[in-house]
Amino acid sequence: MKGHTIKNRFALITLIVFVTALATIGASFFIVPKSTFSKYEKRKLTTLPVFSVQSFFNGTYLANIDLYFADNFPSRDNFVSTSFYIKEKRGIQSKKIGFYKTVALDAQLPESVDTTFGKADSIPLDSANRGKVETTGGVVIYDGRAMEVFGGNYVMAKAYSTMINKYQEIFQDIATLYVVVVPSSIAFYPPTEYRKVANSEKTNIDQIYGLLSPGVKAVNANDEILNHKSEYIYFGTDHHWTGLGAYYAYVAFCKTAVINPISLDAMTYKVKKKYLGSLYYLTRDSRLKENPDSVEYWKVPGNHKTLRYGSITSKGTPATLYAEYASGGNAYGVFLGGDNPLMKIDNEIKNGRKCVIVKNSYGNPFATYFTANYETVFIVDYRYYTGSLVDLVKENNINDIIFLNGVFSANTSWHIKMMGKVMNGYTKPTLKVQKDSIIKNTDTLKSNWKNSLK
Amino acid sequence: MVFASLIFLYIFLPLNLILYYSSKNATYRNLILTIFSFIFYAWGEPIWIALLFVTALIDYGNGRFIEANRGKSIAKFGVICSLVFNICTLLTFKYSAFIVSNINDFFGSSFGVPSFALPIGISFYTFQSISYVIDVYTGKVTAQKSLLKFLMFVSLYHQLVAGPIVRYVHIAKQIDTRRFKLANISAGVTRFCVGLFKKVCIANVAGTFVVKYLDGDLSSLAVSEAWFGLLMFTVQIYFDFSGYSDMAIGLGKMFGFDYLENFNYPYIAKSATDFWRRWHISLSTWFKDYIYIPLGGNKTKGYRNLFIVWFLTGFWHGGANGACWNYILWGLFWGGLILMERLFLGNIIKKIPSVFGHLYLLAAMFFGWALFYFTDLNRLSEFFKILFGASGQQLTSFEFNIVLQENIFWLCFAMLMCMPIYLFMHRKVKRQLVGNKAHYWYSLTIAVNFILLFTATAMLVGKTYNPFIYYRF
Repeated sequence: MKGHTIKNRFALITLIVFVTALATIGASFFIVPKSTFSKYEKRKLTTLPVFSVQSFFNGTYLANIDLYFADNFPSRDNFVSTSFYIKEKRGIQSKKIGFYKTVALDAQLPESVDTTFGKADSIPLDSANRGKVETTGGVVIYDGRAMEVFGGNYVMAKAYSTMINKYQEIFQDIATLYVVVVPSSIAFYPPTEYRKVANSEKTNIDQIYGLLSPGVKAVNANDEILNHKSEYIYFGTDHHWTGLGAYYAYVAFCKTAVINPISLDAMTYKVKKKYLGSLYYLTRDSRLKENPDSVEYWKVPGNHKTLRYGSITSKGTPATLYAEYASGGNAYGVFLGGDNPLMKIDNEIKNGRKCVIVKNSYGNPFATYFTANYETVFIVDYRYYTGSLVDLVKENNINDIIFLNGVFSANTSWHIKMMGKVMNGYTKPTLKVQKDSIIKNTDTLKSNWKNSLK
Repeated sequence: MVFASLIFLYIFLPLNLILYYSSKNATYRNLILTIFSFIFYAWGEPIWIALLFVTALIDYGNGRFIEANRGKSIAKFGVICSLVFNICTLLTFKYSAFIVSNINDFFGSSFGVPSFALPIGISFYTFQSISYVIDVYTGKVTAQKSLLKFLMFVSLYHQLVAGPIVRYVHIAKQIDTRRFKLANISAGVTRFCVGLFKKVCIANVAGTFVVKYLDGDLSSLAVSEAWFGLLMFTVQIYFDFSGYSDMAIGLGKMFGFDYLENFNYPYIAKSATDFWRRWHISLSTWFKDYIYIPLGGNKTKGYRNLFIVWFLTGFWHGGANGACWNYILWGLFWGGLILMERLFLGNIIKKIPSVFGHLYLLAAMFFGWALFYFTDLNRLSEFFKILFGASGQQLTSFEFNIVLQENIFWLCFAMLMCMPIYLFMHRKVKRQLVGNKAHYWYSLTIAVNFILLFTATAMLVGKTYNPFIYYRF
C-alpha cells in the first residue's frame, strides 16, 4: 500500500513537472518581447504572418506560425548554444581538423547561368536569396582556421568571363577594364590530404583569365598573395580576407596598371581585436572561438570626401571610408562602413584620374587603398546598385573600371547575373521576394514533415 | 503538425492536457480531443481535413448500417461500401500518379499524371476505418452509436499521421469510458519523452548523414561512405518510426488509451519471420488478420496468399511521388525470405548458432533498406556496385574518417539503443531501487525525462539556426 502511495505521489509530480515545464515555456513565448533580427545569424527573424483565406488553405499561414514560434522561442540563443555544445560532444573532435556540411558549389546547375542580362526581373535583392546562392555549404576547419570548400568549375569560369567580355565590347574605346579574381584561404592553407580532392582555385582563375578578350587587363593577384602566404592575409573565422590580403591584391593591380602603390608604412595602422566572423557563426565551432581574429586596417592619409548613394539619381549622403565605430561581429564593417549600392570618394590627390570598382563585400578593404592613387573613386556594389554602370562611366569620364571578385562569387551564377544586370541598370523588384521565400520555407517544412512520416 | 516540433510540445500539448483534464465530463473530454485532433491534422493539411471527415462519416454510416441489418445478407453491403470507398480513396490520392505514369510507360500514352499532395496519414486512417467496419461485420465489436466518439477514434491525433494502426476493437472500451489513472499518465509522459529523444536526437541526426551520403552524387561516394550511409538509414528509419510509435503510445496513456506495441527491438531478430514479428507489428498483424487469414492463411493456397500479402505490404509503403516499384520489390524480397524460411531455411537457422541467424538477418535488412531507400532503380544498382567495390571507388575518404571520429560516441549509443539494453538497465536499476529506495527510482525517472526533453528541445531549436554568411552590414 505504501509503495502504491509513493508511486502515485511521484506520478503526480512527474505530471506536474512535465505540464508546468511545457506550459511555462509556452506561455513565456507570449510574454517575452520579440526581436526581429538575429545578430548571430545576420538574418531577419520570421514575423507573425498575416492571415488570409488563401494562405490558410495552401498551408503557408500555419507553416509560418511554426517558423514564427521557432524563431522567437524563449531563450532561443541559449538553446542554440546548447545544441552546438551537444553536437561537439557526439564524438572525439580532432583539435586540428573538422568538416561542416559539404555541399560543394559545383552542385549548382550550370544551366542556371544566365549571361543575357539587363532584364528587370528575376532574382530580387533579398538577404535570404543572397545567402542561398552564395553559400557553398562546405566548410573545412584546420588548425583553428575555417575555410569554405571551393567547388567552382569551367562552366562557371566561362560564364564569368563571357559577362566581362560583354563589358569590354562597350568600354574598349572609352576606358580600361581590369579584372581581379582573388583566391580564398582554402587555396593556401588546407590539410595536405584535402588538397588531393579539392578543386583548384588557381586553375579556375587561370581559366577565367584565359577566356577574357585581349583588351581586358587581368590582374595576377594570386601570385602576389601567395608570396605573402605566411602573413595574416585571411581571417580564420570569417569568409573574407583581411585588410592586408586586400592590400597585396591592390599591389598586384598597381603592377598591372603601372602605378605606384602606397606603402603600408605611409598609412596609419589600426586594429580591432577579438573578432569572430561569419564562419564562426555558421559553425559555432569551439576551435574557432579559441582563435578569434583581429580586423587590421591601414588608413590612407589625407581627406576623403565620401558620399553614399541609394542609386545614382538620388542625392548623396555623407559616408565614411573607415567606420571606426564598427565592432563585435560587425568589425569587418570598418571598411567603407559596410556595403552601399554606390559610393563616391573625392581625394586630395589631383591627377584627374577616376576609377570605378565593381565589387561585393570582398572589395571593401581593397577599395580603400585606391583613394591614394585616384582623384575620384566610385564603388559600385553590384548586388544593390540598380543604376547603369555604363552611364556612370560615361557621364563621369571614368578612366579605369575594376571588377574585383573573390573566386567564389566569380563562380556563382547569381553573382554573374547581377554583375551583368548592372550594365544598363534595372528596376528593383521587391514585394515578390517575401512571398517566394515564405513558400520555399513552407515547402521545406512540408517535405521534412512528409519525409519524417515515410 | 508533428510531435517533434516546438509548437506541438510547448503550445498544443500542454493546452490540450489542461483543457482535457479541466472537466470530468466524458462528452466534453471527447469533444476536446476531437477538436484538437482536427486542429493537429489541419495544421499541415487544411484541405484534406474534409477527406478525413468524409471517411469517418462514411464508415460511421457503414457501421450503423451493418449493425441495423445484423444477420441479414444485406449487411455485407456495408463492408463492400467501406472497401470500395477506402480503396478508391487510396488509389486516387496515393497511387494515381504511379498508376497513370506506368500506363503511360507501358502503352506509350500521354495521360496527364495527377499530382495530389499526399494527404498525411491516409494509409493509416483508411486501414483503421476498414478494420472497424470488418470487425463490426464479423461481430467482434458493436457499431459505435455516437458520431462524436467515432470521429474521435478516426481522427485521434496520437496515431493519426504515422501509426501505429490502432484498431477500434482494441480501444473500444476506452472510447466509451476512460479511467483516470495517475500512474498511467506519468508512464505516458516517460514514454513520450523517450520517443521524442529517439526521433530528434537519434533519427534526425542519422537523417543528416543519410542526406549527405545517399542523396548526393553517387559517383563521388567512397565504399565506406556508402556503407555508412546505409547504416545511417537503418538507424534513421528505426528510431524515427519507433520514436513516433513511442510518442503515440505515450500520448495515448496521457489521455487514458492503451495502444498496442508497434516495435519490439526488430534489429535483434534472428530471421525474416522473427523480424516481421517485431517490426511495425500493427501493420503486419493487420495484413495477417484482414488479408492473409481471410484468403485462407497457410491452409489453402498458402504460397499465393503469402505472395499477395507481401506484394500489398510493399505496395502500401509506396505511392508517394509516384514511386512504388522499389517498395513492391522490397515487399516481395521479404516475402521471398519468409517463404524460404518456411520451406527449409527456418530449420537450418534453428540448428546453427544464433549469431549466424543474426548475421543473416542483418544482411537481409541492409539489402532491404537499400531497396526501400532508392526509389530510382538505376541509382539503386549504382549504389550496390559501390557497396561491393565494383565501380572502382576509393575505399574511404579523408573527410569520412574525420566525420566518423567526430560522431563515434553518438554512433555507439545509437547502435546500443537498437538492442534491449535500455530495457535491461531499466529493470536492473529499478530492482535495485525498490522498497525503501523507491523514491530514488522515481526521482531518477523524472530527472531522465527532463534531460531527454531538454536535449530534444535544444536540438529542435538548434535546427532553426540558419545563419547567412553573406549579409549587409
